[in-house]
Amino acid sequence: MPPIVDTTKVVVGNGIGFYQPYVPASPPTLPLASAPFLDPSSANIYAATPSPNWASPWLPFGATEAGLSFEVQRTTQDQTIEESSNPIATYATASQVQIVVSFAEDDFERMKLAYGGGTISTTAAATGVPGFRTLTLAEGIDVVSIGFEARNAKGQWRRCLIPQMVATGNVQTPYRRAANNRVYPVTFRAISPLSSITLTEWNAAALP
Amino acid sequence: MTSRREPQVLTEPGAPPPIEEQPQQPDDGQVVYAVTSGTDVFDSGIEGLDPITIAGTAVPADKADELKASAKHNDITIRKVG
Repeated sequence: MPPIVDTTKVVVGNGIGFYQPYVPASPPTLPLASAPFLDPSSANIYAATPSPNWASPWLPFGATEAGLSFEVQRTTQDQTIEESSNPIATYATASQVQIVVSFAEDDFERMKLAYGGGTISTTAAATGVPGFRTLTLAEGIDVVSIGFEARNAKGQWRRCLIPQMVATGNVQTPYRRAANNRVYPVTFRAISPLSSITLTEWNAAALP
Repeated sequence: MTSRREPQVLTEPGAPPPIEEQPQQPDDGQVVYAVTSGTDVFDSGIEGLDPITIAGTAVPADKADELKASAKHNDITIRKVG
């Protein structure tokens, strides 16, 4: 019989987020269950060639202002009858699954992701002329797949996959002298069915 | 007041990408290179070369080394896809 209180299941630790463009013909998949735990507190995440890592086409969120937040929200409607003071049933009228994150790396890739789309064009350097890059915003919102990894209560990996998300929210970036680094806060909202969103975690060591 | 709604272009799941995203078909003596990271479109400035896209762009084979050197100098990763 398990203990009434199990403090080993009280867990802290940030998540490491990844994204990739959503391509219907090749739906995203999580790393294999045999893939090692990508420990968010290890020096590995700062390595030039991290190993373990989520393989291409996954791309990392990079540094964040305050980790990421995985949110599941339900809006419900109570069904009531006169004979009962409390509802006799409650149904979901709306559901939201969101990833809230504030990117702390200031580059075009993060801006494009936070703004919901656009095109990055690079013009090569030429003799006497430096190369330059241009981010052109777009009317449409790109659909991206998002996954993240964090420590579970057994000290191993927990991985989440949300196949289709779109960037929403209000991206406000402070351009301050010293009070704030530049950040790109964004809320990704799931547009794929709830049944397509999965959380998977390590449970037991492999047998010899 | 009424507002005019722009027509939407919908794509069926699993449908091939729009025409503008289709990789170029190489002619004889050409190879196709695609951008893999660092940008969406890479304009190498090499005479006679179209910008290299994520979908892939046909490049004369004799320009490939010059293109690869330019991509490396500009922190762009490209790869041969056809």
